[in-house]
Amino acid sequence: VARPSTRRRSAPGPILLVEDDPAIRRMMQMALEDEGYEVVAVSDGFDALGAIEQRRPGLILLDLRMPRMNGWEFAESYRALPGPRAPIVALTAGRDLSAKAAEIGADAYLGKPFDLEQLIAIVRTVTGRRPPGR
Amino acid sequence: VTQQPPGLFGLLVESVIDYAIFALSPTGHVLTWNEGAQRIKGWRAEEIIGRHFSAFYPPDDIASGKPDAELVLASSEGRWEDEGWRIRSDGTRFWANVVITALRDGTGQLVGFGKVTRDLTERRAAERERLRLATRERAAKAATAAAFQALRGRDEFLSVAAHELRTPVTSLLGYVQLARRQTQAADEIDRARLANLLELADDQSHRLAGLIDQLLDLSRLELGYLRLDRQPVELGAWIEEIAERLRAVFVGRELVVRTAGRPVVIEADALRLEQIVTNLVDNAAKFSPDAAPIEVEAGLGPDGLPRLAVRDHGPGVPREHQQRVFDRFYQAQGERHYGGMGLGLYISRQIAELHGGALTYEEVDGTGARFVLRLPQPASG
Repeated sequence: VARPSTRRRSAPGPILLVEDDPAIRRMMQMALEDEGYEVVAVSDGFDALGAIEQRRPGLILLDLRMPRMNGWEFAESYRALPGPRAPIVALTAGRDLSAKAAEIGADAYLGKPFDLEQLIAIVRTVTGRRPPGR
Repeated sequence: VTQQPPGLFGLLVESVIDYAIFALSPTGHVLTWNEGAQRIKGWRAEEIIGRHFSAFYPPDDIASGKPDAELVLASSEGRWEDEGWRIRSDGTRFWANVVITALRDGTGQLVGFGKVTRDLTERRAAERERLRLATRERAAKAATAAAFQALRGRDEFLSVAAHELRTPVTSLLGYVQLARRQTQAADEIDRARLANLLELADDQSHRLAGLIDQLLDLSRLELGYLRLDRQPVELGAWIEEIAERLRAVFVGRELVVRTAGRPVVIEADALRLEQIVTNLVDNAAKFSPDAAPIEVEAGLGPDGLPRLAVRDHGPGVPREHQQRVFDRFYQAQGERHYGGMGLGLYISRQIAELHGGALTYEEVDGTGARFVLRLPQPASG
């Protein structure tokens, strides 16, 4: 019996970065790529679902307040998808970070602004691995 | 009228001190008097017996015929009760509860009236004091509620402001840390990358400064400190100049400028007008597709008054939001967030109004949002 290829977890997918602010998105992408991670960056939940259709991510960094489809709506749609689920790290500049992270069932959260060390540390912790090749 | 020595009942009535109890003749003349009457009204029996009971009423009641009217009512109804001001022998007023009862003999013949009067001045004062305190308490509660409302507003404001300031701070901090990593790299420094990171950090610093300027403008507007520096401005030449600056900011975006055939000179604060146009173009860029042009128009409107319009080809503002887009923080609220503090249109409208003009949203046929700035009469005909 052939198993669907999406079930195989031998090659973990890229980090999916969902962030509407172009400057933050670019900065985070640069920082993560410097660390050797592969990053797919999109500007809202809608594009994130599109990216997931193309390729399953190994980790999702998710901003909450976004136009078109925000973090809450994305998390709900993502949970409804079949197949393995990547851990989610919620990103927000707002108040009540932990409560908001709990609302979307995030595995961790990161408050803005953050130090790059914090970003890298949380990505390592949640993925449980160092980037490939390190 | 003959005075008879009082029996036991008469003695009882005479000795009551909390109520004035006395009899009136059918014509309203005082026939008897008791302790209470003397205590409440001040007259001694020999001073008042035989006098008409209108002596107890204030002059305006006497003028309106109230004492006799009360006897007529007591006679026809059998009993009449009233509450109102009465006069003591020394001319001072007291608040009285008065009951007048018609007295009739076995054949139904009216023989006089019984009158019972209580002094309710203190009770009335206490009642009024209670009402006054209740009113004051209500006012205090309303003031407290308003203060809490204002605090909530301030809290909301701080929350929105903090959120919006954190966004450029996040990217600024990130770019600076990436740049620092470059300088600490073991191998050779990538100068081009370092320069690029510093440029990105520079952009974010300006963005942060812009948000702080907006907050300061808001504060100046709220306090009425925002002052205009009016100079003659020729709209056509001015808008071309602004458009050049905007094209440098919105790289790759088509900005179409249309001006009037002839010069239109207004008295305006050019920097503040630029702030409005920049804000409108920034909104147009944010809410319409990248490929669609943004149109800026400057000249005279159909009413002959100077005006500036910015139009985009996006989805436009839904009808239910059209009035509220000018509210403070409107855009910044909610989780479907497009970035920004939600102050741009609010501040722009305030600046328009300081100029004696107006900033409005107008429907466009088909699609797109169109904001129109109307300005007062040109400086010279």
